[in-house]
Amino acid sequence: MLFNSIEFALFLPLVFLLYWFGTKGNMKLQNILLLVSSYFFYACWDYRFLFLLMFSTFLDYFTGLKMADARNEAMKKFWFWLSVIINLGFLGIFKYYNFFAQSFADALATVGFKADFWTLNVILPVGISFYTFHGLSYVIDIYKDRIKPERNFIDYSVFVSFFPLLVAGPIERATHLLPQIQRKREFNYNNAVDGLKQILWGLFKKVVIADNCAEYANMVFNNSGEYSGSTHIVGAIFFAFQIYGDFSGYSDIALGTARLFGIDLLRNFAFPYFSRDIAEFWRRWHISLSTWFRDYLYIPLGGSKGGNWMRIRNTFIIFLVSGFWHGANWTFIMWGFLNALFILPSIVFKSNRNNLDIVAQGRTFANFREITAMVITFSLTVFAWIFFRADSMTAAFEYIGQIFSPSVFSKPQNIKNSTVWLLVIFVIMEWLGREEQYAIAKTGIKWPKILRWALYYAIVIAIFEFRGLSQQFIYFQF
Amino acid sequence: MPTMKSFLLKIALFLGILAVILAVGLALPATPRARTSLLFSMPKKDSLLRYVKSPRIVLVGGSNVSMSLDSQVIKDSIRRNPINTGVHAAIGLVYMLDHTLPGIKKGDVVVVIPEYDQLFGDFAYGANELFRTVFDVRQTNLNTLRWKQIKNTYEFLPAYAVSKYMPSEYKTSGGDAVYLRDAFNSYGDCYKRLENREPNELVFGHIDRPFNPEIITILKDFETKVKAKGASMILAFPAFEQRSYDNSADKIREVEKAYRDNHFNVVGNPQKYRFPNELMYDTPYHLSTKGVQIRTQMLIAELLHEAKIQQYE
Repeated sequence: MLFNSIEFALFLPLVFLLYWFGTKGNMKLQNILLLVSSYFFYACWDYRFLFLLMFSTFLDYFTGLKMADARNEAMKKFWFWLSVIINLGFLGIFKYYNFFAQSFADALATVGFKADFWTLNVILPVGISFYTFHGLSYVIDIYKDRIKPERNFIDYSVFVSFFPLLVAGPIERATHLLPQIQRKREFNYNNAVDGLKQILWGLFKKVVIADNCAEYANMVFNNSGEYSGSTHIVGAIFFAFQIYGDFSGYSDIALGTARLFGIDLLRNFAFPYFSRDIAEFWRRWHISLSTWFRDYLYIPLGGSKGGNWMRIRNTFIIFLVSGFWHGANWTFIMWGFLNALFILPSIVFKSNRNNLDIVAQGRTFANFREITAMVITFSLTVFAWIFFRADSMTAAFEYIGQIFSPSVFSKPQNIKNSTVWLLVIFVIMEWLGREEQYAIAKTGIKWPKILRWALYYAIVIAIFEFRGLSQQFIYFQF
Repeated sequence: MPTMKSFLLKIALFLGILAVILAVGLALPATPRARTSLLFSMPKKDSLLRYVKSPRIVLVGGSNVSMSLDSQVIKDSIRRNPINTGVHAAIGLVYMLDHTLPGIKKGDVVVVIPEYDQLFGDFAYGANELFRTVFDVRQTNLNTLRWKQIKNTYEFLPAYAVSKYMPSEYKTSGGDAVYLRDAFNSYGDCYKRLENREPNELVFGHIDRPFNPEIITILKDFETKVKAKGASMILAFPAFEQRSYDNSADKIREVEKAYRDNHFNVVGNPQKYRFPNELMYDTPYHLSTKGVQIRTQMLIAELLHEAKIQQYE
């Protein structure tokens, strides 16, 4: 059940009405309803993997309790590692087994050994990387005595499976989400209206921006070699907007949906393409994953404490792991490596925390220096996205090779004017709203109601009229 | 602080106004731009099916049929009156068959040439073009749609309704001449063919959808009904651009196997119709003038020598 489907448009109001009216404000009933709805939502993808989700949930719930009740440190460690190994084991089998088997066979082939490894023909369970990381953060927090285990199985299951975040995040923390699940929720008019606006903007980003850009990006990436260098550049830029519209659009819909139920999820995007350096970009892109890696990998590895070499090593580790998290392909690892490389100068020169504020805060226009910094950062990001999007390393290098050809100076081919105009409008709206949680959070808030509603209707009509060819949400594959 | 009641009332009001906007859009007549589009060539093609005299050869398919065959040459070679019913693949093979069947007469040779996509997923049940066909072109046909066609196309309703408010829909100028209502000759062929565009803009990737055996059943059912009318049905393969072909070669083999396993009267084979890029016009299924000549001769030879259709003098 896609967020931008008719099915979801029927599912959401039904759950909303049952949640606020059918449960009479009883928190236990509300949580049971959320759990049942979430499992139904997941089963609509593939009911077979629902059992895997349930098992994963039970495993972390059970090991969490066992860790808390352990008589000694050794037992606690045992339950902790049991949970980690089984969680990562599932992820490894479903997501990475074929990659390792193939890579190992290829490596042996280079030294003359021919090995045929058994490969698995399995479908990747949707959302497995997300709910596995949910569970891992929970058991790590218990192991580190940051939180107490949740003893109510329903509440814990809602934390793992809450449908807005189940298949593509944000990756929540028990410390942030569980207390909200355990607390009585009151309907808040402003939150609900804000949630609806965020859903609307998320739909616009996905259906209009991402899906239109996808058509062009797919055309160029799927037929690299057929087009001019300039077309390849535009294809890469369009992919940058596609993935941003797609993933941040999904996150907006997730956050907005959760707010309708009185729950605040972690912010996942903060206008990343207005970043002035790569470090800032990573504070604004897929924030829930970046902070997850920071808290559960970077800091345990020593973080920034051990001097420059330690920081550089740890930075490369988290970016490589982050790349690998996205998928079992060398292209993702290269994407992670490139980002680590781009961030390196700011680590060496200790400038990675230079841009903690919002660009041109309080001003309408950025100055020349800010614009230059944003353009350079965006260009580096786009370059790295080529590896993320390409089917293989060879395809990525061929794509880059096409860019650096004489035809880079020719006019880009087959660009739809309407897509360009939509992008321009989108970037302007994002720029004007960059100091808020999402672009239209405050737009028109002081306008007369009729104008404000006209804006919302304009967005709805744009979604209907300019929607692109429907594409799967990119992050579902992770 | 406003309450839940106020929240629900405002949502109801917002959605109510939206529903009115959509309903009015739906009720407005087809826009000038829509009226000049190739979908509006259908009434003319309908009248061909009704009035063209026997002996006839009826060509059924999407734009691979309308934009890539020369009916005059077919007529000169086979001595049957050709009717090219092809318009657009996205109308869906199911609608094409359902709509053609009532017009079939005794003695007709019906040559069905589905685009390969028609056999995969729900493509054959139509998309936006089917929705526009039903609402703009043939409003009386609403009740003849199958449930799956409705399921496949209802999502286009808002876009269709909203398009009625778009100023661009009220301009008729512009656009490629081959995609207009008047691009078709008296047989139903697109006669405004242009030369190959380099590079060819569209190469289709691998067909990712699964094979849909329902479509074979529908084809079989169509064949039975055609035979019951005293006519015959032949399945042929579309001309397909070589790289697009290679990208989906496994799927194309699946189609051919399904045709043969189900004992259809099949002529030719897909490999023969793997056409080089320089013979294409603007998509992997649209041929340039030279491509049309070659393909037409290939089809004629197959109809005469493989299918051994009766050749009138």
